[in-house]
Amino acid sequence: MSPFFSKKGERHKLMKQTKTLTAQIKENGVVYLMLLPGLFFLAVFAIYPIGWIIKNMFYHYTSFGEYSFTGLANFGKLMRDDMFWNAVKNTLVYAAGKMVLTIPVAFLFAVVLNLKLKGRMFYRTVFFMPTIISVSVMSMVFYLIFNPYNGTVNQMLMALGLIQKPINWFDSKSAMVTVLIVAVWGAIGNYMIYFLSGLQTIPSDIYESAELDGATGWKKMRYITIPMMAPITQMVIMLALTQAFKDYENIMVLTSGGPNNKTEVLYLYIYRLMFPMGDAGGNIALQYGYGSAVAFATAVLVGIVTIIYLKWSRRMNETF
Amino acid sequence: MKKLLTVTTAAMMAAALAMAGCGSPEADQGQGAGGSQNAQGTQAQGAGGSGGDKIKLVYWSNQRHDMEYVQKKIDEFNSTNDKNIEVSYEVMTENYDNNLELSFQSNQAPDIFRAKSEIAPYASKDMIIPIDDFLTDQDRERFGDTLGIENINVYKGKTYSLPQFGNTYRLIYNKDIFEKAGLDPEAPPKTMAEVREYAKIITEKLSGEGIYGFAMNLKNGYSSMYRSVDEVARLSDMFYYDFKEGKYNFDQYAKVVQAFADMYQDGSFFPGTESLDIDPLRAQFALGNIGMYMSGYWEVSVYDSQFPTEQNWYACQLPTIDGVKGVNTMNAAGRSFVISSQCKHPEAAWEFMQFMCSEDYMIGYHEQGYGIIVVPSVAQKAQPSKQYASECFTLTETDTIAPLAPEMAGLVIEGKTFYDAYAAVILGQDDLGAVTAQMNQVYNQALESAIEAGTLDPIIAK
Repeated sequence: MSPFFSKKGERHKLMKQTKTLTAQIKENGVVYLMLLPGLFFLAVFAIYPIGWIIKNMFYHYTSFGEYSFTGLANFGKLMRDDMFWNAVKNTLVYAAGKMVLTIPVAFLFAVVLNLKLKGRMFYRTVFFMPTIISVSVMSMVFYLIFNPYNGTVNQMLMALGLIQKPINWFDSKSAMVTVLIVAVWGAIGNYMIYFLSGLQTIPSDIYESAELDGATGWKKMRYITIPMMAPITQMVIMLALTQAFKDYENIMVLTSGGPNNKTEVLYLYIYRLMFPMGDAGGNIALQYGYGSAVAFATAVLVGIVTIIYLKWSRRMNETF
Repeated sequence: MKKLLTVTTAAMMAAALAMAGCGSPEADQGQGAGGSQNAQGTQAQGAGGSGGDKIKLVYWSNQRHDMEYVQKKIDEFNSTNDKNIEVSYEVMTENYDNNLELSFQSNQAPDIFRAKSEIAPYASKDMIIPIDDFLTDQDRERFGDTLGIENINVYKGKTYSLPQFGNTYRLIYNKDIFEKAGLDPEAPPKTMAEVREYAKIITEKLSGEGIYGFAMNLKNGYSSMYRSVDEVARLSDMFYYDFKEGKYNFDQYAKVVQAFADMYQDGSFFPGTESLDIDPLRAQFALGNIGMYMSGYWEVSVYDSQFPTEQNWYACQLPTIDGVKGVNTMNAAGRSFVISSQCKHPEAAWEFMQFMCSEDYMIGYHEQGYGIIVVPSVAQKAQPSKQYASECFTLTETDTIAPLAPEMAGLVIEGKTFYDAYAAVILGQDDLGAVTAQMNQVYNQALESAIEAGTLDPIIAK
């Protein structure tokens, strides 16, 4: 038996390790101390809430005083809950719509604002502004703009002769489109900045040599810009996708999920279960237990969609 | 190094997960009416008033419109009471019930609070204590029939709150718009058919000027319908819950919903009613763009201070489907304050509660237009409020304190509530017959299950 595997050897190794560990603590004590606040906040504001959700999804917990273990009952209820499935459908429609509209436009804006245009910094700032404006304030302003009674959009369209009578932007047919317009407006600037930073990492000599080879504007875009942007595009799409699934603030202000739950998305439904809106005894009763189950199911759904996307998007890297 | 990090992280995670366990509501169990000795009652301090220590109590309210009056009265109580009690007053309008429940979970509940919801949910969760031991025969005589109503101020035979004020519901209309449309402002509509006709005339004649006949705040189905459809149904004796049978029956209620849906179909609703909240609705009414809507007494204060208006508005009894056959209920009537189960000084809290329900307090409150006294023995002594249009909301024989339907007393419904379902019907997005059949089935099934499980007592009115 080799001395390395002998009991004596093991003990020696362990002693050496312990010594190393103590020495390391002494040496890096300050570093660990500085890490502690971050770890504390991570534990309290991320791990604790997740633990709370995971625990309470197995309980009937409507509020103070009502608490009983119900096993998988909340998930059984979830399978039967039409409002949950309606919210799943709306979330998928909303997320798909937001992605399809936001990503190409953000990319286009980034490409244009990466050109050596006069006043490009001004336009970059203007387009980025929605990102730093409060979502609820922004949505309140859009509510006034799209207001079917005397909103600016209708007034402009009527003045231009494009419509004869005001469009009801919040009826069951248009409400989803309206919340999507607001969401896209709020998101473009953010993703534009990501794309812009990606575009600036592409070395200019690649374009120069391509030009020497006779590459035109579109060919440069097709064979240089898009392939070189693939890794950052993959990341931007993933971020946009998870964010689109998590959106609810703008919808809460604009439509409260209505009319007839046509714009109710998953996170709004969870919010309503955890913090019932309106007067007590109204639309939805407070249900922490069931709300936790819906939150968990939503997290799983977002996780599945993200994994599918990541697997699919690997091909993007391979292709380019 | 890695190991240390792993160990530290694991310890933090474990601590966090343990907190998730420790923070469970299991710790809240068993704090019932008699459980106050276990409660920590963080706000209640002092030693019963002896030795010069103040008994400090915290009072929470969800009402903002009466803040000035209430604060003044509390200051008066603090300076005049001989029991060394000092009350601090906190107003919280957003997420009131949520915050209340969170305060109980963390043992930081107020000593006394205004019951925003019906008392049944508070009592069933042992958040409040009964006041029967404090009530004298004289008190009971003073409050008369308004005290002792099941689920309103009594729960399972125990009294928890005292009646004080209520809000009557009315049809609110703009006299100037009526005149402009050629309608008699002194003869407002009495039936829903007339409301439909009036709304149609106003819209046809005045929509060019941006004026529409009728409005509902349908962004929130519940908020818009409890003040309108429910009360028209009650007054027409077409309510959705049959108090004699103890069952839900939406068949008659559906006819009331249809009356509102007809108006929407006519195009008489204010544009964008689907996304209209109550405040934007009020703002448009104050600007003279809405002919009629339905709401409660609080609108008097709204147009006095929140949206001061030059409009010549007025209010009248709610319309019915085919004549007055039932009665309205009053909003928030029959209950006022409750004593928290975490209060360390219930006697002191009762002292304060008595002050807040005293004749002097109630008469001042009523005369200054903050609410309508529902206690008959006190109401007789009060002068009418001088606020504009408050006389329209004075108690009539159809303004009562009606018993609660089960869902108001804590019955939880899975899926869409009837408010959301019928709001969709009003907006022409769902079929009335199908929704009615579904609601009858869903609500009765939930009711039967709750009664069978013992979570709700049958609600049958005599």
